[in-house]
Amino acid sequence: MVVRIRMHGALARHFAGEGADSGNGMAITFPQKKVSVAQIFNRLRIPVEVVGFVAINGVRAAKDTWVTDEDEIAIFPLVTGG
Amino acid sequence: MSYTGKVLRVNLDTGDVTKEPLNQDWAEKYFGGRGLGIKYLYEELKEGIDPLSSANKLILTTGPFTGTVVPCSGRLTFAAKSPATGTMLDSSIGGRFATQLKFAGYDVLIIEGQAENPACLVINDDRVEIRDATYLWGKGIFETESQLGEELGRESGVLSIGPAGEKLVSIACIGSEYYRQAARGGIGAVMGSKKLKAIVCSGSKDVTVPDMPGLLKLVKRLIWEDVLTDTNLGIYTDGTPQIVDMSNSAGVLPTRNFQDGVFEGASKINAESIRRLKPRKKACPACALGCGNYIRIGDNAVEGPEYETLALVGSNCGVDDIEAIIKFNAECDDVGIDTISAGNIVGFAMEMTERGIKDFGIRFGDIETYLKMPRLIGCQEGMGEELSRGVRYLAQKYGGIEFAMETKGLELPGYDPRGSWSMGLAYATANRGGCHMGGFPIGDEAFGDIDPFTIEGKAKLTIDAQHYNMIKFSLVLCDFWAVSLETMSELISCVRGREISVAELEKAAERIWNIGRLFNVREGFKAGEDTLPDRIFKDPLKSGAPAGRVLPRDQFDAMLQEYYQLRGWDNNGAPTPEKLKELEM
Amino acid sequence: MKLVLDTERCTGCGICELVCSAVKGGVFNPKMACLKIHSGYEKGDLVVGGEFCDLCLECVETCPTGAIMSENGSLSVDQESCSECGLCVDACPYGIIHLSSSGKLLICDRCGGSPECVSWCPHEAIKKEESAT
Repeated sequence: MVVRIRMHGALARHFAGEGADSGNGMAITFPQKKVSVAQIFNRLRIPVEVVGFVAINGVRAAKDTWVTDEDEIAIFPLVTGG
Repeated sequence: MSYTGKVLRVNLDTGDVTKEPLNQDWAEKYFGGRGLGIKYLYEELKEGIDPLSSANKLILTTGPFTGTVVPCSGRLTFAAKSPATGTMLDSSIGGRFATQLKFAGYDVLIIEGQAENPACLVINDDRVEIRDATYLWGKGIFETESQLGEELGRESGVLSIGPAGEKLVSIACIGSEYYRQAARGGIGAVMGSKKLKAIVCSGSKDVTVPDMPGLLKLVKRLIWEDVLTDTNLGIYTDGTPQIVDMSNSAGVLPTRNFQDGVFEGASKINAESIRRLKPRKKACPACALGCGNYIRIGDNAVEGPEYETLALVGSNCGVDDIEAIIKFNAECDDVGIDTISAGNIVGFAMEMTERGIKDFGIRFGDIETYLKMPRLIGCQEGMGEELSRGVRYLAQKYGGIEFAMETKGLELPGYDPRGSWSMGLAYATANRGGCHMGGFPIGDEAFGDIDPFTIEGKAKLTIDAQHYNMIKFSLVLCDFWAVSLETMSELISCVRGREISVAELEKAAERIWNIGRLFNVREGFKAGEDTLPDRIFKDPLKSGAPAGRVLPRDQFDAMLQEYYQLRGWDNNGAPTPEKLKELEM
Repeated sequence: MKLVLDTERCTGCGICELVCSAVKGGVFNPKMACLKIHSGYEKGDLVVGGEFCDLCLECVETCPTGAIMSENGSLSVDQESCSECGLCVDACPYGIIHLSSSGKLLICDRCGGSPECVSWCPHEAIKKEESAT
């Protein structure tokens, strides 16, 4: 399965070379038919503490949601507001 | 040491300028910024005064970190009684005024009375003058700043009002460095009621701390290990617009007068659309981040738009045109009105027109009419005169009270409580009215891990968020540095030369919250005003994660009761004598 | 050593000025810093600039006691020889030489080769360029 990842805020700077926050985001392939959000974090080596929440296909989702083929994942940093 | 120990008091009735010692006991208990400002306000004002009369005071406070290299410490706080709500009002502003006031030798500036003719207060270290400002009266904030910069030097800090403040518009703001504002609750109208057009300050004195090498070592480490990190750097790379995509994904982005929480045009007003305009970065004094995005498009320039503006002036008005939003923003900054309230007023007018309840001549997305609104409202021209009174007044006169999005008369900021129940509690209980700066529990909830659609644990979450902000904004540290309580304790201990523990900070935070609440109780506010507009309780959101949801009234009531209990307040939401004693108030 | 401001990177935070006055003078006071940063709006437009010691050597030439010396691309002060006359303060074209309240002469000496302003700038907006002089 292939998913597209978009990193928001300062998270994007770690992946600047991979086009994570421009155009269609970064495509990642997994051999499984479904993966957890945690597995995606592992794969991208994102420390969980800096993540606020994730959205799957534009809608906030709990971190234990399953992600499947063609899903779009947005990863948002923790923020204090404004 | 870190404090100058001096308060500058200016009486515009008499022209008297006095310098008095800072109340050290209050400084120990309330620190500075919001806490100290509200304490001075509570002690010096009598109950029941007219906020636009000479009995109101405009209190400007710095904090113990102001003027030092402590990161993100360069902000000023105002305190006054609010003309918009009748509650206590604290409003803060970035830019260089706070540090200039400190370098001039003052921790606090208190302005009393009313000038007979338009005046400009000029402070240069020990020299303080009240000058005539008749030649500036009527000018916008941009021209006023430009003029004063030319006359008095561009390195000075300048605070000024535009025509809106002069006309006592209830959503008038105070501006500084052109594009920064202290905006909410009509703070600009308080300054206007004193016929004070501007305050200019320049300082050349030293700010000292007991352990300079220790502080430098601590701060250097903190800047690289604690400030310039992923958690905070988004504010530098993107600024607050990074929140547009967050709110939209969480389904809380105010859309068409809070009719929905997902906006189809969000991708046209998000961080990416701002980055395409190639902003130049601007920071407040001592800020290692730098949130300001300076953008110029043709004749219009702003440092922004900030998230709140993108939400309330953009999606809330059904406008997805970033250039139109920038133009609206620039007009608000110049005429001197709050964009959050302005966006709510225009959104309300749009819904009223579309529903056929009252024809204000404007519909969602009608950019041509929308762009006229800031001047109409700020200068009180035509229908702007009525609109300028806020959504509560408009709804009471014309109807639509269920969707007049305000609490205590202050229009709601950019997070829909139906998608974040804790934020509903935060809005309902903020001391100055519908406000997101009193506490930001959504950060850990809808924007974090905690389930947004339950009341479980929300009272405590909101109280903790409120206390966190109270201490942060009283030491004076900027919202955008996610600094921990432990680090705040380390910093204040170093700067004050004695150990100030996290527990002491938490107690001070609770004290600061309670003094604000006491002010409101003294003014006659009752528990029933800790509430939200009917739309939140009755109209389900249509899209995104909160689709189909309201914040149920009975759940809200239970959450509020738990909040009062945890706070040690009575059923009417008033601090009990035991609680006040515990907090050494 | 030349110090140069990258005006695209500079946010105007002034941490450099605060640190300079702190390290050299023991106080926080941007007006006592041996550099100047401006980031502000003139007629609404953002104008960014800075002044650093560029080794014009006016101070060295003006000093009556020879307390200010120039060698290896930077200045240094022999505080003992300084008579606190203040002539160098007036001679400096950028106004970045100061006499502190305790009588110490504050002058840009590149901090002995590792300028504090350079190392503290959060956005690496101050660059040092080793020059021939």
